[in-house]
Amino acid sequence: MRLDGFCAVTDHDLYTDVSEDDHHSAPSGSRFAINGQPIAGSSVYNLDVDIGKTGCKVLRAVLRGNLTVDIQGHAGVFVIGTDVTTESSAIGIRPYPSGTQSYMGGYSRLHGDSYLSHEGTFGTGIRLNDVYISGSDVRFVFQNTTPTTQSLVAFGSVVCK
Amino acid sequence: MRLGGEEGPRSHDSLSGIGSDDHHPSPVRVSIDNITQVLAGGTDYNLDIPLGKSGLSFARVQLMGPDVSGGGGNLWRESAAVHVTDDTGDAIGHSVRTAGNFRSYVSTYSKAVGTTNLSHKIFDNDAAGRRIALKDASIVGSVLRLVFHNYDAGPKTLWVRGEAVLW
Repeated sequence: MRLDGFCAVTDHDLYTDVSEDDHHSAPSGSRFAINGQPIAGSSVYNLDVDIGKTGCKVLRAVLRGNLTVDIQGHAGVFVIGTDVTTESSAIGIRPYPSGTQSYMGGYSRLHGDSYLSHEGTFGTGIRLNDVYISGSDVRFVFQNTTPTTQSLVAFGSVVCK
Repeated sequence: MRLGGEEGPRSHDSLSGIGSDDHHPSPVRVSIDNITQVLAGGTDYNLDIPLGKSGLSFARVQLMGPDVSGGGGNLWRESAAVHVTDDTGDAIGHSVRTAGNFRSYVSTYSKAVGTTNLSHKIFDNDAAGRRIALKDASIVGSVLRLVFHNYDAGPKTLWVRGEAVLW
């Protein structure tokens, strides 16, 4: 029941000195499409995806590469992470060299693995090494494991909270 | 009930009846560190991971069993990746079990549509025949509850590690 002059404590309209997002950290997300970014041999490339806000603590992302797996499927990973480096874990998928079968398995930087995907998931010899929130970006760290320049292909979506 | 003239608070300090974290729990990440636990034959085991707070309603959980496959720059583990809510029987996810030759058995599991488990039998340390599966996962109060089941007639030792993000 509400009476005249009542000021509801939970109405966000009454929080005049803070934005709604500051008040309870609304989730945020972004999509990205990288198709042909060169990475020098044996080098790392940091893909910074702007998520439009700071303060997020955790992330969930799904990425796909360019190798095909069965009908309209591709190599890729699904990954979780935080705002700290090497606290991420993932399951990665990569096609078997012949047919429509796949390699698939789990990785965890948190528990000591050095990377989050199979080699070649995101271009010849390119794998995902780490994912974390950095300011208003989510940083995806890709590694070219070959001695020559290769092209990164990564399409994805990330949500943060 | 509040009466006229009362001023609406402008800061969390004013929300005296509730903790700020209860009001809008901030996200958390928890680690599941090399759990080893003997499960009697045919029994469930509730692995409760403390979250330090209540009010969380969603989790994404990544779990790994002991088996490693692949080679060179492609070492990976048998795993399960699960979406979890604060309702039991609501979880859905994927599971991976090695099939030799570096290939994998892969499957989708959903408690919401009636599957019994959430993973392959990958979470024990008996390489001769793993028999422990993830059976359910949910947020219960201030813990993330992972329910494992031993499908063997005799005791098996649970072996699991991983992490989860929750909000």
